[in-house]
Amino acid sequence: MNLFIQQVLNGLAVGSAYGMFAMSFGLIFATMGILNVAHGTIATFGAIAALTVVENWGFSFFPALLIAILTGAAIGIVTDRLAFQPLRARANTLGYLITSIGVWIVLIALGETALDHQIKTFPPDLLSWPRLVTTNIYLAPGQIWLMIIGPISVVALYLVLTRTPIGTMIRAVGFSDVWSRISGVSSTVVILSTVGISAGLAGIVGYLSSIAFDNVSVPLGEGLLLKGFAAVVVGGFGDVRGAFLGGIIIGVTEVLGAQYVSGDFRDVITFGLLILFLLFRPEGIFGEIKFGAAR
Amino acid sequence: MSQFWDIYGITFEFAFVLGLFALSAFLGLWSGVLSLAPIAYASGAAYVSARLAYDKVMMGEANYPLVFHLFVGMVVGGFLAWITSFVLLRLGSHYLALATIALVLIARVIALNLDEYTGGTVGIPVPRQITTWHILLILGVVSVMFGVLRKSRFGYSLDAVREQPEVASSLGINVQRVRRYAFTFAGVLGGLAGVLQAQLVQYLVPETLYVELAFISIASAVLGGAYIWVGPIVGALLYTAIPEFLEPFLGSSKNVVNGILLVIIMVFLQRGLIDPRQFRAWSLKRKSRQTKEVAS
Amino acid sequence: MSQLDVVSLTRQFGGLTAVKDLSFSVSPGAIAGLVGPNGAGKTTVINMVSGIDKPTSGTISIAGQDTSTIKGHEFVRLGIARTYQNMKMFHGLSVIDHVIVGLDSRRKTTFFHALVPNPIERKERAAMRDKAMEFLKVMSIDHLAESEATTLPYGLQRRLEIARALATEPKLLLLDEPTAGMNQQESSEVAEVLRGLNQKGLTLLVVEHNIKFVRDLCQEVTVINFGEKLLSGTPQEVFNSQLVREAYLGKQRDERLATFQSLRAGTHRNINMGEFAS
Repeated sequence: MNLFIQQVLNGLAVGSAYGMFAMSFGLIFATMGILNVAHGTIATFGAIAALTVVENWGFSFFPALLIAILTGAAIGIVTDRLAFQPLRARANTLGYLITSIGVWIVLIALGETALDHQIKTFPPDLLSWPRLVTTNIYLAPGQIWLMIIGPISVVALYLVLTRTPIGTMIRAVGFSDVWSRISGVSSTVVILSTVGISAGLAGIVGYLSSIAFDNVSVPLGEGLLLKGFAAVVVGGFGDVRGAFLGGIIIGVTEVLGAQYVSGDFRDVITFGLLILFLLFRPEGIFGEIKFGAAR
Repeated sequence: MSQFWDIYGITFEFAFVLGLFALSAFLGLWSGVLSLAPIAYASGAAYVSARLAYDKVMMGEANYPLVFHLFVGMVVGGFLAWITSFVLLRLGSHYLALATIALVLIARVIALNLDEYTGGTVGIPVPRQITTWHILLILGVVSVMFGVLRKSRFGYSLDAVREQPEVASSLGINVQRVRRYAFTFAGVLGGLAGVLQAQLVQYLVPETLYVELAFISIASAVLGGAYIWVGPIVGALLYTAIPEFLEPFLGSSKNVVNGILLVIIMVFLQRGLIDPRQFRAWSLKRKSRQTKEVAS
Repeated sequence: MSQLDVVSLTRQFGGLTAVKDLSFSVSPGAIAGLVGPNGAGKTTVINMVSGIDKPTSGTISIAGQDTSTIKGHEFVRLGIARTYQNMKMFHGLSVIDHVIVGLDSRRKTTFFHALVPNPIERKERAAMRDKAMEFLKVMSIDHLAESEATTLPYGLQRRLEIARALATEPKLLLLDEPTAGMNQQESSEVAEVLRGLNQKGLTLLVVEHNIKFVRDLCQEVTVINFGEKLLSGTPQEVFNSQLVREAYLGKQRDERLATFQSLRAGTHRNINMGEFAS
């Protein structure tokens, strides 16, 4: 029984990471139609930046978290201005996808250079609390912070999107670019806030999961991208609650499946779930926001 | 010349095979579908072919001839594409793109778990039978096919389905069937290219034919121009060649060039480098200049 | 037997009823008009008659055959062709290529003929070019065969669109707002072309909100508003009816404004295109 609880908790921690990533990835896709394959690498950069300030200037956990957010948001905004903005008047999903592949290639190369092609880790004394240790259950601080910040971020993002003027505007751009033009809301402001929020969140995920998984590397972001992608499909990309829930579902089933079915079978469960949802409920658990060409 | 070939021969071999992958991605785009699925079919085809060769060699017998492996690759690729097309092509364009990415991810998972046949993470060695000339010949034959296709009834249907599926349907074109043919043919090409790629790297692991290659093949097609078959081939050549030639200057970050190139192309030349519309404009201009000269 | 029989046709989109219990018919060889203000449901009707959309309830019969089980791309075989309000040209294709696409249903080659060079395919390709040229001649745009379609002036694109539809050899041609964005001169030219086609035996159903165009061209007119039929009859009967005047012409001011705006847009566009073409 203890083992079961341990694994559920592990699953929730992993799932929080997937879920947060899925929210940020899905937000961009739902509002702007950008299937951004570079998004995982933006998360990696959050971790790299935090590691840099921790190693070189002895930053503690929270200031480094802030650095991770700012780095993610900055990279997101810069790439949006340089690569996506010029396409906005005429692009479609394909155009954005190809452009994001270009951005992805550049970011991966930069990330590998920054890390010197190595896998690095945070110093163990960065975070020693809170820690949960009983005879059979052990949760590392990184896991606990994932489980704390994950739910906070989903509630916060949901409230921002539904209760604040800027959130309404973000959703309006998701519904229709024309609508926002008519209503006189500057689409630049809306786009930059969306990208900032989304990429900042990616920075958080990169930072926290690199602590929890003891791994700062480029493949970390790629893993988040693939699992986050699956979570978005399962949860539906139009609703942040759905995307987060999708991440939790995938995280928990994955860890439990690996424990009780077979370790090799881990990804079969994830992507089997993915296929089932695509076939029978492509709009995800919560359904999608209608965007793009309404027919 | 031969020194040049010693250094860059392998680069060109990969470039030509990438050309085939790009053509298979182009077929999808030509029918108005963004699909990364050919890589998944390529993976299936490559594993079947590799396994057949492996068993033969393990038994101490001679490997099957190259033609047999190519044929197996095409059949497996085409069959997988045909079967999955019934499900995938029901989805709307966004979901279709997502589902085909998912398919590529799943193909790897299947390859990992069928380790009795695929060798799992360890992989499976692939005896190389092809030469550069084989690859060039195959690419040549496929190019001729695309040339015929373009001006055939099917090519016109594809153009119409890509631009205005609704109009195509009301002109009597069965949009779903056109898409399914294109999808299946893309699977055949993918299977073929998969077998070639496996023989080039001479070792097949689940990541040999994976998302990166899927993205790169779509990117090559769009970079070169996804409106005529020449485009994807040119795109694949540039995509492979440019970083190699720049390696002396850029070192290990040579791939950055491709990324920047892709973004620049998308921003300034959204129809890619090779655009048949441009040819038409030129030929019309030349014609009108000639008639003017005749008149004066 | 009528060329087209529409019986209690209804189409709902979610909670919105776009077409409600609509019945009308078109006799063979006629030029029929379906008129109504913007948003009356005309295009929805055309979409259903041409097989792009399926009715929620009601039946559509073409030359006596019920169409409820027929798939969209099979409507061509019943002799239905159509044009679109916004023309829907194939981007990047030349003028003659548009007509060749329209000839698809009459081609015999299959997918497998498209893979290797072969005489059957080559012969058909040449035959199709000749055939397509004939349709371009009918619409007097054969001199533009190699131009890119989307660079043509508006009026010529309309002609090409009709040529593309004619290539399927229809018995009934549906025209969705054939004069949208045209000036007086251009729309009377279109009327002339349509009359010529009708004299060769083609039945026409014209959807319009340009009343003058319909009055001059059509023999039978059905008026709809808010998806429901107001009445049908000859143009004189219909346009003199008090009911139609109130419902339709009561909005004359809005209509005039709309016509003015579309005219302005049309002329504006023509000027630009004209500069481009020369």
